[in-house]
Amino acid sequence: MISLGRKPRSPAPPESGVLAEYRSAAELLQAARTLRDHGYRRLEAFSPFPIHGMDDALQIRPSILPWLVLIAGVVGGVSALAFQWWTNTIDYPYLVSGKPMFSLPANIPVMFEVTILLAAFAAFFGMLLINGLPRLHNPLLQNERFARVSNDGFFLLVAPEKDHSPDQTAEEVVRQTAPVSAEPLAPPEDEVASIPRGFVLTGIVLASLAVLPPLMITKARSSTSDKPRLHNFFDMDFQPKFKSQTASAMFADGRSMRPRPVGAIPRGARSMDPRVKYGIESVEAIAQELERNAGGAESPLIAPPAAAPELNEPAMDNALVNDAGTNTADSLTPEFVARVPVSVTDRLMRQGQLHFNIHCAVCHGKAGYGNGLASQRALQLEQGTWVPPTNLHSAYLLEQPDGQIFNSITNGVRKMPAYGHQISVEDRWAIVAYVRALQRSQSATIGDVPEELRQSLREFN
Amino acid sequence: FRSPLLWDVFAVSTYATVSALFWYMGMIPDLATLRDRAKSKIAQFAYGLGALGWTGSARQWSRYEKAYMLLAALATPLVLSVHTIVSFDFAVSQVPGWHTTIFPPYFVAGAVFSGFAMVVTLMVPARKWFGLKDLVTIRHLENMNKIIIATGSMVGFAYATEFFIAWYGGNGYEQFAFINRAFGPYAWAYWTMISCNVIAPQFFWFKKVRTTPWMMVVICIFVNIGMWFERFVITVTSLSRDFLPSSWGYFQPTAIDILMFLGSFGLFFTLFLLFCRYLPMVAMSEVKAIMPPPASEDLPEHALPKPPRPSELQPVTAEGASS
Repeated sequence: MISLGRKPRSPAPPESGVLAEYRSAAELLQAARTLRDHGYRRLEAFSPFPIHGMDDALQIRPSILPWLVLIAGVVGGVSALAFQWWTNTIDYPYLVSGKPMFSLPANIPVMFEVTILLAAFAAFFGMLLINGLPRLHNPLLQNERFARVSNDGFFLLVAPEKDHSPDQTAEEVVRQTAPVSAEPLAPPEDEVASIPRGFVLTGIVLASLAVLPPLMITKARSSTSDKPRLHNFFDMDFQPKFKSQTASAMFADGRSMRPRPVGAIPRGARSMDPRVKYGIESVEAIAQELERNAGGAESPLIAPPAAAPELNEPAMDNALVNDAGTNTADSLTPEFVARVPVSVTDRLMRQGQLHFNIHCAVCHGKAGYGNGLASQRALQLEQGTWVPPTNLHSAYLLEQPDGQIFNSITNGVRKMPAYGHQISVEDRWAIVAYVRALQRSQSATIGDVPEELRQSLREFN
Repeated sequence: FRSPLLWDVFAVSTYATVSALFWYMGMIPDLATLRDRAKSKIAQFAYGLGALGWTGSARQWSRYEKAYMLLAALATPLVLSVHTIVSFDFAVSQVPGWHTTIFPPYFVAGAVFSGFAMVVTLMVPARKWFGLKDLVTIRHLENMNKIIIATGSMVGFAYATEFFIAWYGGNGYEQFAFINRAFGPYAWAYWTMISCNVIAPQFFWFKKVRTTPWMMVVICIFVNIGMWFERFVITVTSLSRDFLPSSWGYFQPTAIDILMFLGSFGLFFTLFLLFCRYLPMVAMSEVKAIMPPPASEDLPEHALPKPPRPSELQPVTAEGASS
């Protein structure tokens, strides 16, 4: 922007000289042409509206404004994109649902807006800057006749040439163009226009008031107060609700998170075969085991031993938690079902693949080697708290009955959380079937491949 | 930077800033006129401050015209972008009735529609009371009414498309949202919207209606009401039946809601009337530019340009003034 001032511009607008008034835009244009033809180049025309052809008559070069606007727009677009890229990937990387850190489409709206904003600023402020505005006192505006220029006056200002002298003086040429009036205009003096007193007072009052808020903030930030803080939105700061993991005086057990009431059956879970529902052969054995351990059980959930296991689901669910460290679970060795108890179809396998990739693959990896994205990231962070997920191709897992894998998904195992509440029974079995297929695929030989497909596999290799 | 709410901040504040600049820039030469005609010293100084020392020199005009044209060119895509991005607030969410790709064009058409209707509503009384009938002619108003009927039909088409896609898309939640919208507890709001936005502007097919000031004001007020209900229907009906049945309910405005609504009217009309009182309503320099010299023949009326929109508060300011 600074280089604008240095750029040689021909010819510079005059500040003093002969000021002539004309009747119409056409006469003004004609006069400007006449003076130009007489060798006067330091001319300036004034009119209430733009006159076409005047740029040419006064030899005004096309403005560099469009270039400024283009540059500002490009700078705006590039810097908005760079800033978004920097904040999203360098300064504050935050992984949302495994989406890429930087994605161009989401950054386009801000990029577009900043481009337009900076270009518009360049157009407006560039125009003011090149025109030397704001300029609040201008000797021309002190001239009484000149006040008509913004109304209906057409004026021409001719300055005497410095480096060469045309054959006629400016006054003589101007007189030939038949102006309404012509008078010499003195060079600008540094005279400060008087500002009305009311504006000065208002300005002082507003300026002092504007200082107050920052002062109050500074004081509040650097001192302490014994008054409680203000809550502008009281019902947003203190909402009438219980948060998870907090105490509640309302319930006998003091917990605000409510366990499933004894005897409640979730929708759609009624009268399901326990082999399908829990992945174990016999619920009676578990029920008896629970009853025997009831005396020593500390958890209130398992306290009331149930005669009918179907009605005591929380106890049932709790009893099957693997490696949870409770007295009951350790002593239980349920007999898990050996094979998936629902019919394994092509549809079920695809369903299993879908749900495995949604729920399991983030940790266990898509091929089940325990190298999912979440695990890779956690190991990269080196926080020391991460237990790497199990490799699903480990030998002991290959031997586990299907029901046990189902139980691990339902209730979790070691640090793996329980998924029973968010994956339906059918989908859990589908996942088990898919895991079995994954395991098979990784330890398969050519002999496992059907005869007719072996050739295509060899070609693939 | 990946949330539509943040895009919205950028879009709306850019739009407001650029519109304000455009509006102010258009006034600079006229403020200079007011400065030079002012009788009192205070008015002269105040207008002079606003005019920034404008002298109307050929160089100033040359750059001013260039800058004004550039600003107009920049503001036009901004009109599209601001309404598109505001519609993303809804369209990018998952809520049935909001999650549709038709929202961006539909919001842009709606904005042009309601903006023109608002301008006609304000301009008809303004031209009558301030004697601007020769500057804003019936022909101008008729052309605006033609745009209203075009955009109003686009909006109506968008309503129909939403229903078609809800059915054709086969999504049960989407279907429920739309059936609930038209026949549920908010059916009154929905049918108010349809009759004000789709049916009312159809009267503009009659030339008599298009050219009679009081009739067009009545229809445009209906359009304004209809567009208010459009926002109400979109926002409230979808939220009143979202995915959690526990959060289902019936919207009841609080006293604060009602006062905010009234306050927005008050703020708008205060600023609008202050504008009419103290600032140039018509772009004087633009009118002068095409006005014939006193002695010569009068130009036909339709050669006059349209004045800029009376206030920066209206959504179509930028594209209106650039035309």
